[in-house]
Amino acid sequence: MIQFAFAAFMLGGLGAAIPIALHFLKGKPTVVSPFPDFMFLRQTLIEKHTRNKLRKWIILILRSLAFILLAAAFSWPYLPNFAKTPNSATVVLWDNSFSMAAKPYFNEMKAKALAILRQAGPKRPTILGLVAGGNALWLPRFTGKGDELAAFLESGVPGDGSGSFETALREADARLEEMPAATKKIVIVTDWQKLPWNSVDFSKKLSPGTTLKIITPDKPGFANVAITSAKILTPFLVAKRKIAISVNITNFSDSERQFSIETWLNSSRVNSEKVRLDAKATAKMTFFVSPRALEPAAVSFRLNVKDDIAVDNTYTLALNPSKPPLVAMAPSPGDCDFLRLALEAGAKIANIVPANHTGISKSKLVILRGAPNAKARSAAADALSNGKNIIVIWNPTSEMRTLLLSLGVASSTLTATDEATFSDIDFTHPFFKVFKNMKISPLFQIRFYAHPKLELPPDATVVAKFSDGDPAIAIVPKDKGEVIIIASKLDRDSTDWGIRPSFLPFIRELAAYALRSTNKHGNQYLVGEPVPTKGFSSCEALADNSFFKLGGIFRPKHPGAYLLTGNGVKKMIAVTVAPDESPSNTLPDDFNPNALVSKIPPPKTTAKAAAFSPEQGRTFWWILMLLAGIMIVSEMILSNRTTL
Amino acid sequence: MSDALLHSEYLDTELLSHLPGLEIRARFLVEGFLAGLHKSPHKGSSVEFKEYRDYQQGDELKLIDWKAYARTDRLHVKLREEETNMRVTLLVDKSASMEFKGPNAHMSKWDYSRALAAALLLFLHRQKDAASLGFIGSHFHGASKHSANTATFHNMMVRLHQNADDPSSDIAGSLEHFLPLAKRRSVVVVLSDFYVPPRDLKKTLELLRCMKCEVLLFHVLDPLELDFDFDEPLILEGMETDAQMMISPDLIRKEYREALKVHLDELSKLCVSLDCEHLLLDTREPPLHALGKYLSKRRRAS
Repeated sequence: MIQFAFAAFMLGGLGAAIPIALHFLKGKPTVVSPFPDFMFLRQTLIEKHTRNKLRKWIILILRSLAFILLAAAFSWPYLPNFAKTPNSATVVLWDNSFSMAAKPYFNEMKAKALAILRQAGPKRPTILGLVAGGNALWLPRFTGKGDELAAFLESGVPGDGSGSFETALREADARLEEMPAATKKIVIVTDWQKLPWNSVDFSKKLSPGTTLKIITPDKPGFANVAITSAKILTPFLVAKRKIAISVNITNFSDSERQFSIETWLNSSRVNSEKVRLDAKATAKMTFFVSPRALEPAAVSFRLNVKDDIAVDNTYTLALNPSKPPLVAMAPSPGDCDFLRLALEAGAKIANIVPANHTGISKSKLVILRGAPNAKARSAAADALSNGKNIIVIWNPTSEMRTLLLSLGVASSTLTATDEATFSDIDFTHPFFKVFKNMKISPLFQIRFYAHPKLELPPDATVVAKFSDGDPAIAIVPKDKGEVIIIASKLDRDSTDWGIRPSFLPFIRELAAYALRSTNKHGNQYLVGEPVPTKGFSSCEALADNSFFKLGGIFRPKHPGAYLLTGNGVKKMIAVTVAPDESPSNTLPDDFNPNALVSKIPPPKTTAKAAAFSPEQGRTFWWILMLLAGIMIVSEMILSNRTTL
Repeated sequence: MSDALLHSEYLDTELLSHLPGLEIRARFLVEGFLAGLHKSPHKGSSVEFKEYRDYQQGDELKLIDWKAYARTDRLHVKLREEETNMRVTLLVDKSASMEFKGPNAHMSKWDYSRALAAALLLFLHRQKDAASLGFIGSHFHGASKHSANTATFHNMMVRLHQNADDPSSDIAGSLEHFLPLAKRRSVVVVLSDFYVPPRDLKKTLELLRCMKCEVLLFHVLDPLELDFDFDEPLILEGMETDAQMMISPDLIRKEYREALKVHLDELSKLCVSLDCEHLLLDTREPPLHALGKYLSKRRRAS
């Protein structure tokens, strides 16, 4: 049964009415001319008349046919792969997340999927979608060929991505709606893991008449040990210096596991350690690497463990050289500059420049203290409007009061000389988080000899308070940035904090918070996530040393390190699998996916266009265009000055 | 370029159609024709000596009187008296079809035929030949008596001032009715579009030839009749009947031209077989060679 991909174009067939109308409207010429005698015409026309009349009808038919054929060609007629209206149409969704590759049931699930796919036939057209992330990779069209479906499945699995059924389910529903089948079925082949169903909106039902079937392993669940996260602790500023990396390893299985973890820097193994992890336990370990050159490098951690999923046993990090950011800082009003010492000690985390107009405009962070003049205040206001952050170290000067007033903060003169300590600290805040479990030199023992009384605007956040209840450290949002106000001069006349061990980590955490990047990725991406490639032309996958050109959106399909190159610039990016997939985390027994099925009775089957593939219609298209061409040429030959 | 050539070149039907009055047209035609005769081989058909004149450059050497040259040592040319013993009958077809004028012609077949007839009459009058003018069409409309005097000439010119209004055409019948009036050894000139099967003319022409008449058929046709160059499909309306015919010109042009050619060929063959002259005149062309034809006939008759 021929179907049309774009049936609306058949309206073009109405164009056939044009020659017919012309035939009736213009059948008779209107021009009348005298002629001396019909002596020669009469004998000619007697012969010609019948032939001419016949020719006119042929021309009319040719013209009409040409319109109809063109309309039919543009409507893309095709024969679906099934000869008659199918009894049932099936969409098979294969959960292509990496948890499906778990050893206990991967082969079982594949066999079950293949069994369903091989049931496809002319009366049971089937389409297959491999679900990874929010998207599904689809076979182009419904087909009755089981082999084609099986080959598509074999080519796509196992995937390294994560699973989410919401988008795939809706797309499957839409595809089924286009099929003129009596029964419509969605079959999901999944490992009964909870994760893919988290995104599904159960309030949105499938189309009426669509049934849902879930194929799961006979024994769901798996034993897995995985590296769930890793973080570079030290910036890569100098070659041959140790860079600390923290790694989180979790044993998701129900029994204790012993294994080794290897640290690799590019293609060299740096370290190997034995690890023992109790059931459901997590270990946080710190490893060190020392790159020999200040060049992009890949650090990977590999677990030598016998578990059910292999892909999450390796975790890769991108190590790209960085320069200490510019920090514009006003000079210390006192004799000992603890702040500068804290920022520049050891591994230098900031390049300090003067807090003048140029310095502030170039820097990523501004630290104001002492008596900031009008130019510095103006530049600081510009910096805030550009999204930069400012740290203000309070000082009892009129310039400082002016600055704070411009931020909506009123500050008094020094309060009474009664000593104060921290009494209330928000340890959930990023720059106090590291102190939460620290035993040494508690923050509450720091003494503040004198401090101002600050009156903060309502939108300010107080992170720490003095023992008398006055704000000690506060954050005031302003324009696109934040102003972090410390209500102390931080010199030896005001506090003993500078000589306490907590001062250096606090200042560093404070600077790290104020310098934090808005780029949520950094150089780390999940499988399937788009990687920005602006400025890069080629890429090398370090896993197999393969090169490919970059163009458009780059979505890595497999975890590992990728070296992007372009215009003499190199950048390493690391791709990891989604950590959410590693835990077995199976669905509860009472989980009912049929809640998605609509209870409204199905509508009567109406013949709609099946999912169309241009390849199907190509033969017909050419034939119709050829026939239309023949009609037009014949018309041009025959219609040479007829009275039509 | 001589005056004669210039004259004949510019004496086309367009110029002729713009001349006011039939007489002026006739005069213009004849003057042009006579100028063209300067090089004509037909000059000097009379025998009677008239007078001498001085030799002029361009005169034929055979006309020089060498005896006079011997006597006077000057070159003289003998001029001869024109003959006046020819009787010429002009029969002009005045059927309605002669009024046809196509878009490419400057004058209708009727105007062309009348101009030609007037020119012939003027020419004959100047040569002192006896001429007669008659009209044919749906029937024979009669002909004037042969005469060379000026009053008859003027009468004939006046008779030419009429329309071609015969509703039908019967050339063969008209010519048959003319036969009793035909003079032996006369020249009969028929100007018509000859929409008649040639076989219908055969008998009449044979009888005329039996009377030793010289017969000239001036076949006047419009370019559109010859080429059938209609562009778009149209309805043709007969000029002598009320019949209409819807045609697609491109479809029948070839067949029409073939039918016309057959007709012309048959008419020409008939004329050749009877030693008559058949001259096809396209109204786009200057009518001078029609006069030349006539003169050729006259010389033969003399």
